[in-house]
Amino acid sequence: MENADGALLEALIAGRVDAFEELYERFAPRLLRAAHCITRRKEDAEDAVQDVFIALVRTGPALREVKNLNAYLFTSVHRSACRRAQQRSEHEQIDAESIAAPHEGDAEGAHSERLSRALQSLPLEQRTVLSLKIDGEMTFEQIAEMLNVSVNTAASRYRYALEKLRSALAPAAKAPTGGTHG
Amino acid sequence: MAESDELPPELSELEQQLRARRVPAGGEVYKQRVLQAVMNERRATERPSARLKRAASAWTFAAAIAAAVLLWLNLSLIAVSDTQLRAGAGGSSDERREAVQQLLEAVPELSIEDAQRQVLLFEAGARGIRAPVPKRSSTSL
Repeated sequence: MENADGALLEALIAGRVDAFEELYERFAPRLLRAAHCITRRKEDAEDAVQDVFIALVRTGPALREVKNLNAYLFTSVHRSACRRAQQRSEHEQIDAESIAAPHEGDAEGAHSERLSRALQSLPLEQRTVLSLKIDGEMTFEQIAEMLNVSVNTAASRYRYALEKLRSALAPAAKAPTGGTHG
Repeated sequence: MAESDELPPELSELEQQLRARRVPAGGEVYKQRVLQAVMNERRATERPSARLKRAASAWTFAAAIAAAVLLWLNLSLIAVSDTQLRAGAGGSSDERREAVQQLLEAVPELSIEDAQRQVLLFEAGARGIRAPVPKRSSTSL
């Protein structure tokens, strides 16, 4: 257990509110991104991350066994998000409101929206590896161990996911932004 | 692909975009919701243990009382079994003393304590059930 995380874990075990706030500030944005990547729904992502925080309270003193807090949290959110994603049909129509459009109207916002849509069109196994690698900042070894696959499989899924995203974004990127045809 | 394998520049750039992407989840309201849920959960997990502690202390108190009562009963029984009945000592009546004397004369092998005990038993029995008084005319007695 890292020293900094060890102190934080002890504070969490003691139930200190400031410790949970610190944990939220440090990890919640990345946990939400990872959960949203897997569930593709805002509500499910938020519920999955809340599940992680509640699980920390329930785990109590057993948290002292945690060696890597980051990996522990992302393993936890992955399980929770997958459970919630499975509860909904994988073929269910994605709610348009659940797809990010934070900067609608400007070029950056439009690109962000395209990226989100492209990300959500990936298969679940590729989205999972991508979120654990990008948002969870986990190594392929850690991801492989978590998903019970080989390191090469985890790395391949990541590579395929990135290439699919690039292909999905390429036509839009190459499309002329100025004049019109005809 | 090992960790050290470098991605082509366009994929590396895509990685950076993914790291910087924003999702519509989160916000201050959500943060407060999570922290409130944490506190609620903490209270819920604490409550049963506090209840158990209270129940445990109540049972400990009851067990201590029961142990004290049993000890007192045990000591009382020991004291009773080890104490000689001193019937007649102190406020015994003359009649009782006389009856003891008569009994000792009639049965010299009795100890004085046994004679006193017998007299007390006679008295108790006489109070409980009245002995029939034989009539002079009766031939059956």
